[in-house]
Amino acid sequence: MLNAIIRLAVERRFMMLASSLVLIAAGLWSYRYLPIDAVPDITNVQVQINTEATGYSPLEAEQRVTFPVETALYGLPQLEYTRSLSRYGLSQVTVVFKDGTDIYHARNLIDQRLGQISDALPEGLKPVMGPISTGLGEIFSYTVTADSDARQSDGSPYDAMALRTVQDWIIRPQLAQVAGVAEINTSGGFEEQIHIRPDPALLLQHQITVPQLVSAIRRNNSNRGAGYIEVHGEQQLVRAVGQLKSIEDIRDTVVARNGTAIVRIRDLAEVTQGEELRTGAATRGGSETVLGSAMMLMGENPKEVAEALERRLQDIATSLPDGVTTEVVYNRTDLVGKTLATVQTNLLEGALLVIFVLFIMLRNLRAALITAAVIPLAMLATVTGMVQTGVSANLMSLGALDFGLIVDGAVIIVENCVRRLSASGSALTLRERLELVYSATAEVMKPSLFGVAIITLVYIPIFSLTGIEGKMFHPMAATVVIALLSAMIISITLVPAAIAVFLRNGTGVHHTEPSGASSVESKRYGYQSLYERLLRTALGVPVMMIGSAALLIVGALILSTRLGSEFIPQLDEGDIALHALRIPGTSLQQSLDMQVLLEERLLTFPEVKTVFSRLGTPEIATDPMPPNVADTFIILKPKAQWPDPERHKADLVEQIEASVRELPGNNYEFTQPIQMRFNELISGVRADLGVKVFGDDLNQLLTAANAVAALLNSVDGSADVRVEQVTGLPVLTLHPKRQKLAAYGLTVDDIQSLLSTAVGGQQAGLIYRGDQRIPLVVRFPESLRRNTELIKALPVPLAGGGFVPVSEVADVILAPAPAQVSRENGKRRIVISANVRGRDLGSFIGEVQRRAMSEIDLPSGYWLEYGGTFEQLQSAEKTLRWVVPATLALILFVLVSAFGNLRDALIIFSGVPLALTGGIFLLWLRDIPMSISAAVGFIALSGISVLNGLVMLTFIRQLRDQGVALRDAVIEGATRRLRPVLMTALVAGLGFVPMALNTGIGAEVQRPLATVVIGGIISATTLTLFVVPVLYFWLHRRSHNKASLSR
Amino acid sequence: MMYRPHTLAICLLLSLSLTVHASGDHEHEEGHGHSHGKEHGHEGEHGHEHEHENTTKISAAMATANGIRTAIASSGTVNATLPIFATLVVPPQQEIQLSGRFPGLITDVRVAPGDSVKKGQTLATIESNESLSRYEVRSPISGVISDSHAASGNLASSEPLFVIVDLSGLWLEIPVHPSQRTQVTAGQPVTLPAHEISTQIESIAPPAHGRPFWRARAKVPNPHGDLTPGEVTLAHITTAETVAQVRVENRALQNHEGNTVVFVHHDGEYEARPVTTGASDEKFTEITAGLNPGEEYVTDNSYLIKADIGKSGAAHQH
Repeated sequence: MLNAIIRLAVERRFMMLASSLVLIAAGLWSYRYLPIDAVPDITNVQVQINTEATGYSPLEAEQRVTFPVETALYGLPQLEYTRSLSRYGLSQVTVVFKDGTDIYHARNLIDQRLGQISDALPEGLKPVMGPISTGLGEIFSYTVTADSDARQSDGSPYDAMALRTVQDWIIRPQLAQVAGVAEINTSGGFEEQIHIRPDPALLLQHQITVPQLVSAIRRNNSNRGAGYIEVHGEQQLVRAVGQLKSIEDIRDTVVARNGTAIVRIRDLAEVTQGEELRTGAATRGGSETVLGSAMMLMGENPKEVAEALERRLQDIATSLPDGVTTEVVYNRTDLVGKTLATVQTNLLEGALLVIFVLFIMLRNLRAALITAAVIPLAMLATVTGMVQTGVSANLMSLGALDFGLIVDGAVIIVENCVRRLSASGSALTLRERLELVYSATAEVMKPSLFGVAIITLVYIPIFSLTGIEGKMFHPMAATVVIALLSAMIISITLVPAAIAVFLRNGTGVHHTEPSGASSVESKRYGYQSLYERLLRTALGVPVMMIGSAALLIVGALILSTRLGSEFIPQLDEGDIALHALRIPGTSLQQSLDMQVLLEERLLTFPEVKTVFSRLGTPEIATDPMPPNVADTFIILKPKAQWPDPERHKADLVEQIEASVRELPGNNYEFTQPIQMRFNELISGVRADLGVKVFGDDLNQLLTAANAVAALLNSVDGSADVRVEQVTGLPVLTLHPKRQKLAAYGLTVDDIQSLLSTAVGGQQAGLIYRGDQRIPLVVRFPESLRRNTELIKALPVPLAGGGFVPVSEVADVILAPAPAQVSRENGKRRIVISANVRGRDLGSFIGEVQRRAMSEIDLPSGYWLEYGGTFEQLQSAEKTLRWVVPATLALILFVLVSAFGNLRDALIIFSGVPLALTGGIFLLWLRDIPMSISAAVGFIALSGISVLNGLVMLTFIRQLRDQGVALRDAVIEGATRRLRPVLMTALVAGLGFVPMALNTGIGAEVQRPLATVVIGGIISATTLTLFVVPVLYFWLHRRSHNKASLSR
Repeated sequence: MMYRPHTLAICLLLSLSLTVHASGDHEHEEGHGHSHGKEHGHEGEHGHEHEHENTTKISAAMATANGIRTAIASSGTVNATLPIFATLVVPPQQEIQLSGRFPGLITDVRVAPGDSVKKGQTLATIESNESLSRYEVRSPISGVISDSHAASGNLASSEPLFVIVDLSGLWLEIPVHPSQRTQVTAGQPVTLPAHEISTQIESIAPPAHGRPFWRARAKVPNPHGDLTPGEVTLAHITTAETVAQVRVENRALQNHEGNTVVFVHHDGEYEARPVTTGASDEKFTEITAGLNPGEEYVTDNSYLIKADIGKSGAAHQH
């Protein structure tokens, strides 16, 4: 069948070439739809359900919101697990589905379930699902600022509230409409509110209660339609207006009548513009600001969306009030552009090198160009394939592409055709030439196809990776496989067709040697004779050759244990993200003050372009942080603008860290923007071992957790033992005295609602200003609600007139309370995390489990679970333990089926360890740690080395089948195959050189891979050229001798 | 059999390249980024720095930049106060409901509501029904006519004709609920912040009218007559006046590991000193143990010291 394809390609060569236009068109069209991002998205399929529960403490939020929501989700199809977080004013349930679940379907189901429990939730609370976005979703951030001399229409300068109003009602509605945007999230500033602050003394004096006040506002703030009337044939609508429009209107609202006197709100309360009780803030460059962030819809193209957002933001600028400006502070396009530029440079330079090598080796420009043409065509086919299979383009997926590898198959075919054409002379008829191209292609097609098939096969272990590793590397493996397969198809269709059309003879236009040489031997180049001589020598000392190769392998194995190791090289995003952490209980304002100092210090670094931060929880709680945590983004200038452009970023980070550590009260975690989001969203246990204690009572849980922590500390090899911090939030709790309440005829609700209105505030309606809706909030004056003593003195009105102070009917106690309640799969839990140093993980965990079983005494209803990265590690190890040998067996099977001979297959296989030695040596020389990227390099390497051996051995066998003597066949075959072997090795190796040397953004991810391949190819090629023939000779000589003996 | 070592080596290497790297995993993941190793080093130093979890060092420049200010602990008075919403009332003897002694025809009314009257001033003349003689109704006190039902030609009965109030001095009636009763005694100073008036408790009357609170009374002078009877205002009663050996500003006090502490500054080092507190007022708190007079303690931004001492425990939890 394959022969038929080649036959067709050669016969219908023009049609074949024309079909490449279709391929090009499809590729270009697909490119527009190819999602491009910097890194693969490793977020799991998750839905966040946020319920804003204003004023609810962590315990109430858990009991009244989180629990019903969690319970409602039981039994969802494809559900992996749920986890939840209950904090002050917020309940967040994260539902994680199995990979591959359709997110829209999942959201639909959740929506249905949430609809059913709406009655079970406290009135007014509504669970909302988070934006349909992923960890890579936050692609664009901007700040809203005002010039210092800009004035609002009433003459006052713009404050945080005015800027927030601009953001909420001018900018956000417009940006939210940009295609591909899931949500515009806002941090900082204050939502505008109108506050009615009653003086409790005046309320008492006028005998008016807070509910009366609230209902007075509610009853005086609406428009109502009253149908229509017909007047002389005309229809006139009737309506009664009554909406409050201004602060003055509110002040004049009548609350009650006291004798003949009318009591208005102005007699009872101060009415003023006020600040919401906010849960988050934002700063930029050392002052408070309003920060907007765009979340991208899942599956959109970040580059396009960010660009569209930037354009729209520029359009909006014209509609902003004078003096108010927006500035983009983070744009994913920058990073995508930079990484893409790195990848492009690498690929382009690699492609040029490949063309150059081809030309030098083939001495034929046309042949070189035909081979090189495979690169763009395979690339376009890959793009089409990626779009069709939903693989996104990023550093990982594009980074592993090596054009040398892609053209390998084509190189072998072109080389053989060129060789045969030049051997046969120029006097060929068209039919003869076509026949020659066909047979030359068919001759090497099998090894070339097998080679590609083997390279494809070695990627299989990567597909077996699951979880985060899988998400990281599947796109890469998929891309490489698509590229290889398309290159393979091109090399047996388009390539022979192009050879048939463009190559009239093997020498090509620039060939100066006289054509018409009749024998292959006469076409030898100098390097071939040199090689032949060396090979003859090597064949004389086979044992030494094989022995030294084995030594090298052993040496490399020993060396490999000395290499450092990391999971994947971290992509340098170019910017720094910094968690500034303060002790729990720190107020937002205190945090803000500390953050301002921190930012000012960061700005003293000349490398820093700008700094902005988000404190606490933004409007949409995609990342609910308590007020004591701030995400600080440090945007660096391009390196060219640094005082010392040569400086390493790690060095700068170190200096920054040393500098900010001098600031009191802050603890830090350095990371990068995207990395940070990933950590937040994936949010499993980020340590080797996480012991989870499940149970009901928080104190009991904490006791158990501390016991576990003590146990962990006593186990050999434990490090960084840490108990999840759940307590420490100072809470002023009001405990009603029921007897007293009864004596006064009061209910618990009376004092609860008094307290909640006094301190937290109560919404009493809205004021409409155009589209803008301004909440009317009844709350006691600041001087009262801030003072514990005065809260105790607050009068609780009695039914028969008069009052009692709060302290009379309730105890007010300040005590630390849970800062947050975490749950997993519907049960409270505390995590104790630990890392393991200097001991193997398996035995450590075994000991912990054994000792926990006997030493930790848990009450009934409490249990321990073990998790952490050790799980991933074990599962990955388990998978790889059978997948890797299985893959190797599969390759062997392919080789055996190619040769019908296990021995020859194993000889070819020997190229693999030989290739690995060079890779390990070069890694060691460049001081690059082992990583999955490097491992992928080894995978590619084993493919290439097998390919080389395959090509060489096939030819030797062909010669032997023709009856050539063993030694001659080995020498002749090896020598004749020298050129394609060298070519495939050189193109594959040189193709990676730019990648190995590049220092641009994103290069660090590709560098190990490229280094491994280059090192490996050097060793594999030299060794394949000698060891494989020697091995073949040595092994076959014995059987040869045996055969002759028996004869 | 010759090839077995090779195959083994291959298997080993490939599994190595993949599994070793899967195990690289944990190294990376528990760190928070590229600077993990360094960070670790810092944590180490950090732990060393705060060997005794109760002190921290902050340079003088850094303290100034962060607005950390200190004061010297000294003796002084601490006035414990109790805030209660109280009502201004007219003392009974200063509010007169004036009626005619004998029913009769009102023949003459000389004053209208709002008029000031002197003691003994004639307000109206009534012709008695029985004797038909006229008698004058005189004001028993100096004050203001707050209400009048008298009109010439009306018949005066036992109903009051005039209400005369004397606003020159009012009473502050402070409801003292049972739980507060023990704290309040006669003679204690009372301030009304809304009117900048200071006075003291005159007497404490037992509960009446079935209302379960005692009524402490304080005289409130009203020389300008601008206080309104019936007004409810917040009164601060000084329930105890303590002369403290050591007192600190309230903002210096922080909760640290379950104790009330002040941060004592000595030579760039700040120490969380557990203290026992005594009486407390709006500004100062008495320290009965833990702090000596003359020691320098942090007033402004004391929270920052607490945050700095506790910062190693500040972690990012999701």
